[in-house]
Amino acid sequence: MKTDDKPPAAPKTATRISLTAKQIVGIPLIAAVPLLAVLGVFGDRATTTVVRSGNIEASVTFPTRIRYRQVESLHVEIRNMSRDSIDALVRFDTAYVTRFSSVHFEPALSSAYVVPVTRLAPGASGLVSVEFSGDQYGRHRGNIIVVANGDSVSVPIATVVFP
Amino acid sequence: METVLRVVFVYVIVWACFRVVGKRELTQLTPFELVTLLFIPQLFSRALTRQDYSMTNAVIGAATLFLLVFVTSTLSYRFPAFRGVLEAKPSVLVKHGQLLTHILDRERITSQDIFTAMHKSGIADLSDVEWAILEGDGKIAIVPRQRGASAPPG
Repeated sequence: MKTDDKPPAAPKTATRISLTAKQIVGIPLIAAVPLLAVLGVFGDRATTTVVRSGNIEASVTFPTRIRYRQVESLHVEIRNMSRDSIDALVRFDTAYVTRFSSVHFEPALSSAYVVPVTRLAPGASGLVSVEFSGDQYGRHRGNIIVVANGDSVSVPIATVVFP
Repeated sequence: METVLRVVFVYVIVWACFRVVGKRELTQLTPFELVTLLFIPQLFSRALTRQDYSMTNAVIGAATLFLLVFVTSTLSYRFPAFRGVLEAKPSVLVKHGQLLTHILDRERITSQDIFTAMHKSGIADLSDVEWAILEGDGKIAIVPRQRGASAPPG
């Protein structure tokens, strides 16, 4: 094509990728964040722990990782393994519960962070649910203790709240 | 993970919209068009954060965006074919002092837009313009005619 028809084009040069020292260090760091996110490292995660003692079995499902202000729930399922009807108490660690905000218990608390589960028939199970929001960063640890007819089980729980 | 996918999706959507709408929208904006553009982050912000206002989510979103910018600019530099897809090609608006009206129509550039660019380059007369080019970034570049040079015939 004649040069009169088009303005002169830029000369073609061989191109190759060249990174500065800062980019060699920085780009993998920047790339690591979405990569780890895709692999689920920063996502919410929950685990279930089952503990049995005597005539009661407690299955606790709790979040191990949540993000700031994310609403999550924790469930405690108590199974009556005895031949008699039982009344159980589920006690939540104050140190754990007070680390969260907008905490809502179902059924309602009977006293400070104690939820009664009454008249559990033999073989039946009762469920306690707690909904909360992560307001303080860091790792929060505590125990959930289930007491019924002289038997008790303790389940350690820990939740990391990402900023 | 969803944040990464959402940022990639929005990045592609915004890029595709700009490629379809044209180069002019990058810089030659009327006040009304500017207001329209300001709506874009407003519309996408909630879709990106999904009510997740954590610092973790913000860092993931920002890192994803920076990585996309770096990867696309690197690919664009290394592979001319990719650059052709990613970036708009320049369009000649004025050739040897003559307005190419069919190109002006296509790019929605008025003769006033060209004269504004000419004035910024210190040129008052269209016949003093060798080339006026709407570059890929949406700016109009003016190449003045060499002093003493005459217009080619035809």
